Amino acid sequence: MPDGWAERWNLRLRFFLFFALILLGTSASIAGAMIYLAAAAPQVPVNALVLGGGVALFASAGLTLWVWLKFDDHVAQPLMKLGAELRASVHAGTPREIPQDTGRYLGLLAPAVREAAVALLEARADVEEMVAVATAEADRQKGQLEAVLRDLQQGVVICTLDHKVLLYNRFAHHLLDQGRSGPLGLERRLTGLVAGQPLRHSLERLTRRFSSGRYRSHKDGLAAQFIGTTACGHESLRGRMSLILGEEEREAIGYVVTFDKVTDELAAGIWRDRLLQDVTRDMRQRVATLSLSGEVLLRKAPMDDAARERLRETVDVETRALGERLDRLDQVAGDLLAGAWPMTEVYSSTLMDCIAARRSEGRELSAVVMGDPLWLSCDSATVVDLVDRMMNRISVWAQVRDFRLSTSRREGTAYLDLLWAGEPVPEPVLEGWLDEPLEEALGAMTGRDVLSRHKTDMWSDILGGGQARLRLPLAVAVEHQDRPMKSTAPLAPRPEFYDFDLFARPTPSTIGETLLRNLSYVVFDTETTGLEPSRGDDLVSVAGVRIVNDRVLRGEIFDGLVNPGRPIPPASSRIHGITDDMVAEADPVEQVLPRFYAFIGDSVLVAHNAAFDMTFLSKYQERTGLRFEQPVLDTVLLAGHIFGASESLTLDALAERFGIVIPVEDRHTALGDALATAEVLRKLIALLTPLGVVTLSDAIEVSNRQVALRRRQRRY
Amino acid sequence: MTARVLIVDDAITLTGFLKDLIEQDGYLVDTADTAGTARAALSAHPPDIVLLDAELPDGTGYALCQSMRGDPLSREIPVVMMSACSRAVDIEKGQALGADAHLAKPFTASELMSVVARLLTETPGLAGRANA
Repeated sequence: MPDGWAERWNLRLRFFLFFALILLGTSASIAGAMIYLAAAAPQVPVNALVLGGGVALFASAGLTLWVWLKFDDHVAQPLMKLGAELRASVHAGTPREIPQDTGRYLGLLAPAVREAAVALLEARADVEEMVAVATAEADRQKGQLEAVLRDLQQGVVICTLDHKVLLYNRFAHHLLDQGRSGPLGLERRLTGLVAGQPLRHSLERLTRRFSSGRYRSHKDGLAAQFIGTTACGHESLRGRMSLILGEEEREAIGYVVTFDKVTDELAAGIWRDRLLQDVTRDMRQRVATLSLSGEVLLRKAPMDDAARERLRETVDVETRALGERLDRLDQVAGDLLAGAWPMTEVYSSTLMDCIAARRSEGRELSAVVMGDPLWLSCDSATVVDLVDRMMNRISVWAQVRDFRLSTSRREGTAYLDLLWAGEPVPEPVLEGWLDEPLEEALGAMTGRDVLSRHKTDMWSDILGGGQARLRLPLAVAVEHQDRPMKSTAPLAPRPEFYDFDLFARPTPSTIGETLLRNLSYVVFDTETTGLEPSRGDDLVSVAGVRIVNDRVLRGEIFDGLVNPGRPIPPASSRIHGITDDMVAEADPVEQVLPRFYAFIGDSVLVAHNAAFDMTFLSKYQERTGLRFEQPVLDTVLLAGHIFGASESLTLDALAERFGIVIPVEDRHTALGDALATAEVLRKLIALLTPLGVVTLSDAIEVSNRQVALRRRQRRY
Repeated sequence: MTARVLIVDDAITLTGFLKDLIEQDGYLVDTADTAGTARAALSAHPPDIVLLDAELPDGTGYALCQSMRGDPLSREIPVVMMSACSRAVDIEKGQALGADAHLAKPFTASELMSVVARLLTETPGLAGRANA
């Protein structure tokens, strides 16, 4: 039996049984009363009792049946009908006409059901419309992305952490379609199409950089350059790998690789390097010969001592000058190759950890990492391969399993040392090892080639105490502290580096009529020496973040400390954590504010309790010549319009209301508060739209109303 | 007693001029153009100082220098590494493997002779043999 029938009969049956129970109870009561009367009043004739009881039973049965029929007709059946109509409406997707007389005895239930059906369908239509808009938007962005990727003259491949391909562009497909390895395709492993070791090494480096948090201060963030080849070795690739983080940005979920074909470039670079090297060596030899032959001639030539000394001086000076020229030529040759072969900054502990974890030949070797870490400049993938190879060879040659890896530094040179107990490796043996190809590296590259690319050499010597050492000098990277930093703020975990919506955005005739969600904002906050600018308090920090097209661009931030030129009261330092020492080297406000002004451009300024921050910005108008005349919005006033002025409108309260987490260490820092305010603003804009506040003018109008309201409240 | 100098270089012309110059300063000079002949010369006529080219046809000057330092008979003989490379790493490698001095080609006769004289003076037992 179909479910509908069962439900309908079940409901009506239940009602019927309910009335049958009433009838049964009534009948039992009448029967009981008859029996009682027969016993208590024997003078009453039995026939009269039976007749009376029968009439009573008949009347109550009739009444019950009539009420049941009416109930069934006016309640049970309309209820069933309304339910069925509601279900039908919902499933049909359009509101169905429910006959007016249906459920007329059910009071407001029937119209309520009709309204509910209509409301439900309207809500569903809204959702479907939103989904359609979002899908169309996603399709549009996807199309734009595809168009960009299609025309990009650079290979782009996005992979999972196990190197399975999720996305690739036409150039990548063309470049990696080398026949033997099969074509590039979704779900195929990229490591089957390009030399795996540089990819795996780059991924390992980036993963370690991410997990250690060093990526925040690393100039390349979560990206690393590498040199690789196609699997067949025909083409050389110069690539850049960037780690992709998950939603929570707590773990890496994949990577994107962009690469160019540099086969000819690299070959030309190597050829130039070898040519220059050969030429300089040959010239050194010839100049040496000429110089010494000159000396021999001078000694044998018949001339007076003064003339001989003059000529000798000339030969010596010219020999030294030529030697210096050749030194410079050597340097140029090195720079030429370094330009073609990317040297990246690598933290030595990462490099040594990678070597210790390499285990390419499956030997049971122990490598303990020692020494103070420092930044190296090298092609880490090939260096790891080289040192790993040496470790394997030494382990067999010297019969040792335990190694120590250490880094040290002397001036501009870093030393990567491999230490073991035993004898140093004789130079001819080491030379033989260096001439072997490194199987997993690039094509037939040998250890000697790796050394040549790095303009270095390698040797083994004795350390004393029964210890031997293999030493690899490498270049020290430019010191991080010496590098000019744009901002003291940590890099955003996920910088917003594109926004396709900007292409489609119409330029408004006036900014006031621009939709709030389409405006560019700079949400900012300041930290100060105190709360009274008119009594001498000054800025110590100003930070801002941009919102463009409803997206908080965490990669586009301004964060500047300001030297206030006066001591910061300890009470203020306790709030924002900025001390005199921290601002001692900071620029004065005359230098920081112009940079912040340039950062703002023509964006709308937003702050939480903006009046306070604007007062401080305006205070320096004469000193800086800057007038901050951009439109200003205040999240306190906007929130007041939505929630009412009596609600708590502090930044903490709003953040809690919207589920925005402000890390404790960031609270009351200018940047931390600016970021939190930016998130609050986005939520407020979403809530203002249904209230009819959709343009900047609307927002300014409701803000002015809030200001007036507050003035009145203060007055009373 | 006249000091004996062993020149190890496969550049015959250069070696000839070197020999001529050094002999003019009163030293005895032997020459070798390979690591193999150099080893034979080291055994046959142990020199007081060796001028050693970094690149040899049958190996490197670094390898020969390292093997000399491992041999009790030649361990104490001063070695001047001559090289067509002037990188710091080449100089450091030579020092690590036992060279006492490094001369980057091209060098002048006066630079060469002052290095030879200094090493002969500094080496115990050879102090009286420096003629320069």
